[in-house]
Amino acid sequence: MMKTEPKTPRAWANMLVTAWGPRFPVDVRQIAFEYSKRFNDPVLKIVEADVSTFEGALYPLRKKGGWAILYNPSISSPGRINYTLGHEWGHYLCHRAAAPGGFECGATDVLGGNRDLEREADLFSSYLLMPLDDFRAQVGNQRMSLDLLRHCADRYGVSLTAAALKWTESTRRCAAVVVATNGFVNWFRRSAAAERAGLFFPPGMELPQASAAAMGDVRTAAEGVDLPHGVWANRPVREVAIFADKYEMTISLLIFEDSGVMPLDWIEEEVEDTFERFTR
Amino acid sequence: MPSLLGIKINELRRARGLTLDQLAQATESSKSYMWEIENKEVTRPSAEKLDKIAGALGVTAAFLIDASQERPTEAVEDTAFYRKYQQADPGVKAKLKRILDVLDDED
Repeated sequence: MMKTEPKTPRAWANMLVTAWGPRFPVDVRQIAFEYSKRFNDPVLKIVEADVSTFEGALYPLRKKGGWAILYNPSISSPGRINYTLGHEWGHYLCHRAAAPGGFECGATDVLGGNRDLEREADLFSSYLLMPLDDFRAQVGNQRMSLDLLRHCADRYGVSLTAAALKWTESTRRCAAVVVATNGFVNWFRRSAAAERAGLFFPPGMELPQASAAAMGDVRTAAEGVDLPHGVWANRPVREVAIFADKYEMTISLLIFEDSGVMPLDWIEEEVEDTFERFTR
Repeated sequence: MPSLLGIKINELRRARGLTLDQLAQATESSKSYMWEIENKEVTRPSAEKLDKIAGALGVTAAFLIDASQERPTEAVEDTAFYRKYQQADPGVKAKLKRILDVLDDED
């Protein structure tokens, strides 16, 4: 039996990964059903709900005394479904105690207060599906390419975007992922080394004209294209661009290879607190 | 997270097969301005601009404004954690509730 439950989304994910062992892609359904049996309000159902604009939800089943996870089977890729299931399972583990009756609240709570919980559930899903150590072992010192990213996405059963984000988190290189729609930046995520270098791609910024994403040349996609100083930043960069035309979206992986590699201990490693550890 | 008005305009534009460029031209706006309307959290287009956008999308400005006010304000008893709640409209909630009621009742 567990003496204490993990306290953070990341600690929950690490505990489950340790308990289930390194089997990929992680079977979120199986873990959710089996692990939640120990609680008196287990996850009883994981079912499809083909309702447009909806991705997933965690609901109480009041009569049955448990919970249901609903997900939209029409979300574009199986990877997205896995991520959504992980996300809702994260809400169950981390947040249901704080809202046993569900969210019986007005607009402010739902629209404002919910964001941190959403972020936590995403974090949980990311660490459950793609443990950092395993991800680092997969990528190693290899040159990031579309093929390598696809390998990671396949291994973990996640989307290319989710794998790319994990990569920015895990890499010691100066790197970033920039997501844009219709030629303008929506958001970006950068590695620790890129943050240290002060690299920044503000939302609303127009994609650089000479960037692979703006040029739209899919032939350069696999290995990326080398771009000089001044295109994306004040230093040369290799850009691997992914084109998601259906969403009018481009995803640019930016690797500033000349900027070197950060020592591993410079990257902040979140150390599990001993009291958060799974103990028998 | 875009505004509800932005989401509505984006959905209508794509449903009508228009590119962002085309909508910008049809409404005499710059592409970057139209991008902001669709993607930024807070956008306050003028009444005149809203009329032009509505016209290009084949709806009324009132319809777009209604969309922007379509916020979940009632207590939702059976709701726990919606994913992307902000984008869910009341019809979605009703459909999910029906599915949920069946799940809770079945053996």
